[in-house]
Amino acid sequence: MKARIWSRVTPYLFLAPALIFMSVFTLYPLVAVGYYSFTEYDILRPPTPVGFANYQHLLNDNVFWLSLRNSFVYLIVTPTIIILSIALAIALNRKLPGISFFRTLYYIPVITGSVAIGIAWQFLFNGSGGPINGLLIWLGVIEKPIVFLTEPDFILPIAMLMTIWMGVGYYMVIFLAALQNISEDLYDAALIDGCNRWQKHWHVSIPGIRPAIVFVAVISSLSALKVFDEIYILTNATGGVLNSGSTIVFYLWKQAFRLQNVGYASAIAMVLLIITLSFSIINVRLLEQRDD
Amino acid sequence: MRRIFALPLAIISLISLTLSACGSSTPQTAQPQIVTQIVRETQIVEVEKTVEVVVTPTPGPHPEAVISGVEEGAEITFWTFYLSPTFDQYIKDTIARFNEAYPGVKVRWEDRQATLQEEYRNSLAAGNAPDVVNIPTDWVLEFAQKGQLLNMSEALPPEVQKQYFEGLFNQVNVGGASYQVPWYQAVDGYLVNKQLLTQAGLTIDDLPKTFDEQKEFCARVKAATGIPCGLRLNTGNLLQSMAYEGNVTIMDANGRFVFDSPEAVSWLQYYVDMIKDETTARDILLLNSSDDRIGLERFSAGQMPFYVTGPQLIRLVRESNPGLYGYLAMVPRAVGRSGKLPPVSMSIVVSKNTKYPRAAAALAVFFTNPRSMLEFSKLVQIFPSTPASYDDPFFTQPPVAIEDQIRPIARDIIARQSNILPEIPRLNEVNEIVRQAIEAAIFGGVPAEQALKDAVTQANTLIGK
Repeated sequence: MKARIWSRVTPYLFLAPALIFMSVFTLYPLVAVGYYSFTEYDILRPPTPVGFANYQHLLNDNVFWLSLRNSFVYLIVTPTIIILSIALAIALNRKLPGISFFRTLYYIPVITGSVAIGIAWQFLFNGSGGPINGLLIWLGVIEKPIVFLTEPDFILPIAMLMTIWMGVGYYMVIFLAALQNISEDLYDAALIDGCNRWQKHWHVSIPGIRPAIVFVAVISSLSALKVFDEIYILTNATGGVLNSGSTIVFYLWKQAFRLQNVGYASAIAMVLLIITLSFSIINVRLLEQRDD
Repeated sequence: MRRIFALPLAIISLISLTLSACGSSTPQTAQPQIVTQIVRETQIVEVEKTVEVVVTPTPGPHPEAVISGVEEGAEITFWTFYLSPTFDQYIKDTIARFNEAYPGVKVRWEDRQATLQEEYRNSLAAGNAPDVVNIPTDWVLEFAQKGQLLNMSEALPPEVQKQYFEGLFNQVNVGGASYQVPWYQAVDGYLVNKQLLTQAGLTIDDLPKTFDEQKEFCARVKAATGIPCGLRLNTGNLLQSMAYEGNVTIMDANGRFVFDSPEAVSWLQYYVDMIKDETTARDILLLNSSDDRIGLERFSAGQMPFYVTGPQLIRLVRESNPGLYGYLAMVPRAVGRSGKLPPVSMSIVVSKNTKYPRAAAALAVFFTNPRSMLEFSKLVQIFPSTPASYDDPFFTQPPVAIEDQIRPIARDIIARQSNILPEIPRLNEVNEIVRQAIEAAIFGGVPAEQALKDAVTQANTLIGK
């Protein structure tokens, strides 16, 4: 009897540390944010219930809708980064002398701190002596420097470019691993069937790495929706001129920590939760379809 | 290394040659030749000075113990902002003096840096806030309005309040009371690149004295050198820039925002025009106060005729561009249309829920008393908030280095500093609204009048007026 009880309890004991950890650091904050989203709360004073006021305010908040739009525009990063990292992985999936050096080189941005990268990019796009301006002037494309980071039309594309540059090495490694799992026999068969180099990759490599593509699509799209570091650094924590670089997570941060509207920020967080949850469900369904 | 010795060697050679030529009447077999050489050198002058400390004695058992009824056995926590490790010794020495003045009070000192504001907020929310905290004066309003700070107008005896410049003690006024004691002050002036001025055919005397002259000056420099000014607004409180520079009335007697007046439109149009004419840099104007160094780097690179900053940051210019150091000058900045200068200061506040309000107030006052402030001023280019400190010869002797040029006139400048802003409710959010209005006018092409009108409507809606 005692042994039977013990055998039933044992799995829960093994699970307990993880469950406690998740309860404290995931479940409790989730419930708390849900509660705060129905309150007016500024950290210093106790929260006051306000019903759906924060959600109603969201509907009329132009900056929120602009930030939401920017976050969806940011999803352009996902297909771009997938295409670039597959191309890189294919290029580096060869047994050539010094190939490890190039693989390492493309991975360096991944292990470099985003703040350091942000500062370097600020310098690159500096309106006063930045290399990009220098190059454009030298090529005759522009006559005088552009202060890129104060131009509303440039902030988001520059941040997206930075995200791609920072992430391409990471996704390349995933695709490289997937490519190395494809049997050489399949490539031989493709050659016998008369495939050229392009067709070989289209008909063998891409189908072979499809699970990796789906995986990368999931994680990179969620990362794109939650982008923060790039915007914070490139815009000096302002969100850019006329909020042109503000994304949903940046706006959430600004409301919570700059303006002390924790209740309103919680409502934004709940909207973000619904969006990311929807994305995850769609992606899981896609994975299930592939398994079928 | 070779350059350091070049000047002394040249001088010694010249003196030796001169003496050998004049000092002897014996005919020489070979006549020495005197060759005049001009050696251009940028010298870094480091002067070590020993100055007597003037202390204003206060009646009582210990001259610096001015708060009575300090709780026995009190243990208080004191947070400073960005002072460690450079000023560790000063803080420890001052705490040791405090312990002599108030025996039995234990002080636990901790230095906080970039996360101070968040940490203080969180500690207040969690109920374990430090007793005494050093924060930038700009932050005081938020904590005072939310009832988190000790009322210093009530906690301190009138004679203690009088040890500070009146304008500084009352600079954050909430409900007619002060919730901070002013600590060290910065005096923002024009840090000038004289080399660039010469290129523009200008001299130090041509620097603008008023806000309106500043615009003309920048246009002249831009026309002559192609280099714009690097004016910067106080993004932490844009209404402050508006009030001091533009003499704009921010709120009416009924507590409604009214910063869409013709004065306000004229102030905003000033910057719209300058950005349009490219006479000031568009990426510097709205930099956050925490990014002060971005502007300073631009100045250090020789790409600005002047930069509004304090003498305490000159060392950064010297580190990044030693060649420019010899061409620097520090002069008072232009005064705005209000005729007043905004305080640029650090405060010490006491958390309202402290268990030891008298001991905490005593520590706040001790660190800001004339002696402590004077000693601190000798370590770094900051200025006391206590008039008595300026009686010391340290503040009256002629300046030696560029960093010292503001020192003899600092007392007059600081005495003129005072807060002319009303108590602004929901300052951070109103500031964000104003920022959007300014950006819309400067970068979005919205007429200044319309941008401000919209901002006033939004701000009044926010505060329910």
